[in-house]
Amino acid sequence: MFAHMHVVMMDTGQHLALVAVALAISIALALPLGVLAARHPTISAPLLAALGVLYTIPSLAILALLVAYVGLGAGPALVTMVAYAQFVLVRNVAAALHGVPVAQSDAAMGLGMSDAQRLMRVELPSAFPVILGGVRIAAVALIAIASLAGYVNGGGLGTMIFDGLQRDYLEEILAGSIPIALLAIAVDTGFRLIERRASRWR
Amino acid sequence: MNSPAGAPVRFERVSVRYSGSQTEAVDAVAFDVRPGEFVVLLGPSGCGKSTLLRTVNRLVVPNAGRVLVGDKDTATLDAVQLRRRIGYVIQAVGLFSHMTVAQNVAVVPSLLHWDRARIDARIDELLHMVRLDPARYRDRFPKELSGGEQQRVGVARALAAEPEILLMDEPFAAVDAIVRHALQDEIAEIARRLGTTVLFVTHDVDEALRLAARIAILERGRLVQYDAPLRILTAPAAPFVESLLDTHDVVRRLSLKCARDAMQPPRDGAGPDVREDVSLREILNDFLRGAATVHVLDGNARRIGSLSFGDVVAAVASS
Repeated sequence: MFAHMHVVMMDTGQHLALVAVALAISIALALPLGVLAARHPTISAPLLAALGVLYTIPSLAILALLVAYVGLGAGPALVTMVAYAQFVLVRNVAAALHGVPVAQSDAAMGLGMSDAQRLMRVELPSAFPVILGGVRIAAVALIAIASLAGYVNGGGLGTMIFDGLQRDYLEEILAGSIPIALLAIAVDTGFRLIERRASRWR
Repeated sequence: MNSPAGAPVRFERVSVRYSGSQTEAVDAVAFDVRPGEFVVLLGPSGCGKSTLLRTVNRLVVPNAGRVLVGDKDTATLDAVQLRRRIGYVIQAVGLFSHMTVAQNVAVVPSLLHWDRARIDARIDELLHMVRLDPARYRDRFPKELSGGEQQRVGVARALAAEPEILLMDEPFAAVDAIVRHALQDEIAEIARRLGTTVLFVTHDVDEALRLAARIAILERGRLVQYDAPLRILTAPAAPFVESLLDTHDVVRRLSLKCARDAMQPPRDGAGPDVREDVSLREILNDFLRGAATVHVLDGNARRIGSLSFGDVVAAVASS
């Protein structure tokens, strides 16, 4: 395993990159969707139901379906990851916004903030620590799901796991899975630290 | 004192009906508030007083009638711009918990794009005004403040951009009695000094009597009486007003106390003299005849104190 340290490092880098890109896209999608769900109860129920269905389909099945249509590579893996993260993130953003005290929203309106100002200056900052908690959970889940990229030629630490499984080569499987576990613990700890800093005022 | 900086407010047959409700929350209410006047909206919960208050800054839009602020129909004004000219204080305070005291106070000035130096100076000025030492409080978060301190910040935030009108919705209902009295005295003094028009909602009769130049009494969305506290006590317009204010009991309490019990240190100003053992009920007649101050004399005809109507009310309030 140590003889192939550079391979492990490279795969870890790819793995992290996959997670970072998927997480960035997921957040960019989930924030507006979460705001929409929080503001409009009529949209919230069907939206969360749809995302819930997506969430319950095994990620491997989504991936297989995508590969059948768009071929191998990191692309289908990213789409799978983003789809999976949406349910966690959208529900979390909506819940975080619901958790903002009504008095704060009322005061924001009464003091003369526009809807956008109220959202950007009061509601999102107030909900931020809770939203961050959801991002942490999504990030940890994505680190695990990113392994599937290795199955479809998308890179990352999963490459070694699936290769090892095929060749019945335990050390290679461990070389892929141990870094994944460490990565998950490190990311979780890092997010918890940021969360604590962001919650000073709570 | 300054000339009034407050704007007049006029309610012209204002009605509000919430969707899904059979009855009007506010029913054809009409009255005028003079610039710089301190008006209390008084009534039991559900009488429409908060709803009426919220029509002034268009958090509630009337179904009928007009609300005029500074002679302009609020329906013709941009709601967001209007609200920046109107201070707003609520019972739950609603301080932004992720912002420091200074950032909370700075909200409206920064919405109005004041420059940094002016905002900083204004924060200190306001914190002094509400008796919080800026050096100690500027950088604290709301959770580090007591309920009374939070509402002081709430008042400072509402006054930050020198509003013409201050709307207060049961602002002191959640703090204990001692703090409440201190806050009442301070808001009365601040409003007088700044000349701001104040509309103040409460269900607390003593609070209304202490603070108001005029009281608007609401019952199930209707305006029952709009008059000075003294007139309301002595000439209640309806049985509802009598029972709400317990006017018989107030008059009884007035007759149980004498000038000595309520007087404050001697003040200047014209006014009739009374003996120290005269009952407050008799003194009420002097105020009814238009006196602003009554002077209290001891047995040797020496002036030992003075009384305003407010002092008389304070003496019987919550006793």
